[in-house]
Amino acid sequence: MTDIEHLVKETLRARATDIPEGSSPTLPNNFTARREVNRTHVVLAGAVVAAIVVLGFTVIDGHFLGVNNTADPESLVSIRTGTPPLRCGQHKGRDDAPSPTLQQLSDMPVRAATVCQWTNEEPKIKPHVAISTYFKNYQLTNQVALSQTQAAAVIRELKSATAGTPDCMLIDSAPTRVFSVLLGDEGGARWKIDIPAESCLGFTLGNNKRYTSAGLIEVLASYVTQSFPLPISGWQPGESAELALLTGNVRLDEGCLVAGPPAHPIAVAWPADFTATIDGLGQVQVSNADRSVVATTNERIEAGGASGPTDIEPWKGMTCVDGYNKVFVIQDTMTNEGQ
Amino acid sequence: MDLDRFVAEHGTWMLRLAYLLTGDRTAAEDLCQDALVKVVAGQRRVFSARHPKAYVRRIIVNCHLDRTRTQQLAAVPLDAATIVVGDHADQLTDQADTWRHICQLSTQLRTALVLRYYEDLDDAEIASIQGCARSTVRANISRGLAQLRQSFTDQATEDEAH
Repeated sequence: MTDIEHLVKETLRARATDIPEGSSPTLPNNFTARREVNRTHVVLAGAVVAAIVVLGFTVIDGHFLGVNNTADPESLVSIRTGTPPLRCGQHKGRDDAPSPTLQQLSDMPVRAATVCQWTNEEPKIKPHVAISTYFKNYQLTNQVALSQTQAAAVIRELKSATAGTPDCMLIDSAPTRVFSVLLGDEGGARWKIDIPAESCLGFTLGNNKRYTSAGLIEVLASYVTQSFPLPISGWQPGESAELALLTGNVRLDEGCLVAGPPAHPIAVAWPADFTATIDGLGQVQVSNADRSVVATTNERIEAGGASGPTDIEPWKGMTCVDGYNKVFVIQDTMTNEGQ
Repeated sequence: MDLDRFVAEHGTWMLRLAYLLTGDRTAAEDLCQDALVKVVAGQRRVFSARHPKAYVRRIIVNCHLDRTRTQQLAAVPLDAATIVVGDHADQLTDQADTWRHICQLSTQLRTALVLRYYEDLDDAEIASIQGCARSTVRANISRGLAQLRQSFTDQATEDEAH
């Protein structure tokens, strides 16, 4: 140890005694009160947790994993987006792998997730090697399950953090299929978010020059096409139909297929026997009774029917209808001939 | 172990660490409160861990880094009255000067020095807490020490000029 190191050590030890032995930090008021009134404790602690949830999700420097009061407390302080801004660049994947669009990313469904803390032991990673190489350098040290809401919040944060960054590119990194985002300035790669699925598709937002010294968050998203629940009106071809016309794009809104502008989404109730599927990129396709695709997210549709309020039967309590102000009931076979 | 017991056993350590990081007693108390709120939010996991103290250390350091990101803390000038003259006056003055110079370091550098020379953590542990690479930790410590040396040199030059 050099003289200066010795001096620093001695100085710190000496200055620490400015705080006398036996001193204790004052517990925050909310947590002092709980000793006296247990019920109050529950309410106050809940309020604090709720505040952390709200702040974690809304503050730009929020620790979005801190929203979970059962989450690893390390995650309260170790994962964040927004500060400093993400640095992004291109990381090459397989040439024949299609790159998803930003819109597809924005519609990516997230059903469940696990956040894994991992360490990166002095990685010797070269740019442009397969992503799987990176995993060999990672050592999983902890993991925290996220609820669907939290997982969705993570994705929202990632999207928000990468929005408006023109250098960010979404690159398919098949076959290992991960979604990676660089975080931090000088940080080592330490965190991974993954979404278990039978098969996954993901993307890389990376910087091929600084991968070895940057933090990463990786998200694996389901790429399995699954059935997608639709609100069904029960209207069938041949029954009387109203003449209102719905035109425009349908899109996903918090897991529901809706129409209308983002500020005023309108729920859509589909005819009987209509079905839908969703793929790993969040694209929903609606098929009519003949199994013909009649609507796809973010593509224009035209359909006849009627609109009305949602606070009456049968809409009250119906998933993806209740909660919206209006519902458009499609009373149209939506065949090509009908459009 | 629960929160009360942890604070009873390690409260002094918490305050001292916070004090060395912030250089100010009031700020240290605030920092500990911030940290305790987060400890409470995840206390089941904190106190069931093998090393609860390590968890809390990490929380304190990260709270400190978070706070200073948003509010640049001014360097804390050393109160002249704390320079004690006596048998070990030279040593104490050295320490007082060193402390003043440490307080003038950037948050990152000071934090690295505190974790290394007060908490006796190695590069990997500090890197884990600060969320950076080990090479960054080494660089921060090296830069911190270099800045301290430079501060002493500047001070000596200034003293000679007077």
